Amino acid sequence: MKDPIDYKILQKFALGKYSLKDFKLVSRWFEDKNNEDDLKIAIQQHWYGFSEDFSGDEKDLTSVLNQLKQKIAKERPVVLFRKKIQKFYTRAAAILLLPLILYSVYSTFQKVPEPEISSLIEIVSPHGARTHFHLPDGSEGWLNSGSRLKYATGFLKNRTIELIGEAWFEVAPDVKSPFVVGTPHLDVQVLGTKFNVAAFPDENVTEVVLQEGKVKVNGYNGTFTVDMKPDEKFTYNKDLQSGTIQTVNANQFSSWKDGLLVFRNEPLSEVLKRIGRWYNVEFVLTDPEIAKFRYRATFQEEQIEEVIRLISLTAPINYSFNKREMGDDGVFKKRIITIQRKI
Amino acid sequence: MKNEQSYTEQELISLLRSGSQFAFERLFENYSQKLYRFSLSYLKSETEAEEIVQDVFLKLWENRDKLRNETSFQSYLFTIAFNGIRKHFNKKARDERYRTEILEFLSDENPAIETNPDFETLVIKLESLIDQMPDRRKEIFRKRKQEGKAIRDIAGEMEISQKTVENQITEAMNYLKKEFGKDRISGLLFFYVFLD
Repeated sequence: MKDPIDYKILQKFALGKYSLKDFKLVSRWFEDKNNEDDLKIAIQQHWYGFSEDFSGDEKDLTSVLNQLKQKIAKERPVVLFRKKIQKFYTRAAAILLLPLILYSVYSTFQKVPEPEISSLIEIVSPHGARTHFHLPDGSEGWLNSGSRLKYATGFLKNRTIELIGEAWFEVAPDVKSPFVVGTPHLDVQVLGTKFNVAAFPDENVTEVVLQEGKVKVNGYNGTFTVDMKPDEKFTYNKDLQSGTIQTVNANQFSSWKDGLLVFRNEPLSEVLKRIGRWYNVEFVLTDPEIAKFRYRATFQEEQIEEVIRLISLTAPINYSFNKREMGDDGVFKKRIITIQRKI
Repeated sequence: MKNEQSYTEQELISLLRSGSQFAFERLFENYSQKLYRFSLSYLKSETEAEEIVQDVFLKLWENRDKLRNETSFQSYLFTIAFNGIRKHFNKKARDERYRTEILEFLSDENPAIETNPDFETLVIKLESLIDQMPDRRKEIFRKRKQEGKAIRDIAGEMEISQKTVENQITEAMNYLKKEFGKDRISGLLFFYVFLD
């Protein structure tokens, strides 16, 4: 026989206010197969009405996430490329740095046992700043303005790093553990090298530029695999879901790490986007035609006012700095600069 | 310019479908707290609520290619959570039936026990009373009520007479009756009865 569900009792039960009698009722509703649909509807209402903002402390679920990551990582096709990596390193055995790094990795393993539960380490480069970082395996690099990197404490065993934004890497060779940079759209698998990855969430392209060495770029679920050579740029377009390779001057793409903003025959739209990210400002173009104007310049350690002034000297534009507004949350919004066509 | 938190749920779901671990982690950040607290409200156990969170996300990853859009994503999460909660709940209710049975027995003499709206406190009180029993009595009592063993088997296991086992259980029940009959509990119950 069907046992009608009393929503009020169910609700009170969920809130922790219930008697033995209520508990027996709720248990019966859960147990009875005939009630499954009604119970589901009742609880689903609770789920949709369940408040997301919660005044109490958040439960620390990091260990749950880490266990999940371990479970799902097993599925990733990293092993497929082992063979090639080894081949590469037999040839590159003359690199002097290699034995030294292997030694330090080895000795760390000997002395400090890895903690059972790993936690995430995050490196953040705030807007308007560039951050130099060192990783536990001896790799290093630069993190561009408004970008972040994440890795787990078990990094030496599993050299996987997550990138949002742009970074330049100089990777320490390690035959046993491939170095993988994960972005929302693709993985860059590294075989000891220098390269730049730009994966900004507000852009529909992810770029990988290789300066030295060798990297492999893998799309998720095996959609594509590309081997890159030095001075090549791989551009993945997430809207078209396809990638292209171009020959470039790789130094130009990593110059930001040396504090240089380098533009070589780039449309003003691109120039302003990069300047905006660099200085954490926003541009408003009153005339879309100016976006197409091509520009060539190098800036080093200039103030934003000076950069814009210099651009306006050689490009057909006028500019005005708007007053910074305060948002509803009481935080000042980004500075907005309006760009007009010079008449 | 958008910042890194600005992926819409739609984008994250389509990224997840294509196997992005990044999207998986963002969705975990967005939903794990809600799932945890939701499960906790039914299961009343932190460990079990964590298990639900883990199960839900593991299934989400395994079935990522079947995901469609935002509405089905929300109801998909709920359905996996609901099935998990239901399974855990029933197992839990079975494992802990002895408490309900003892409290029910005690309510024969003190009917208000059954309608006291603070069942959780009664259970905690019951557990602490059982814990305070002398060791041997506690062992016999748990074997009988919690593990549901026959009196004969308990006597055999502990190399004592069946009569002793019976006596210890009667003693234990009397003690619980007495404790539940006095002090705070009855006062509290009286109060609630009047409120109703």
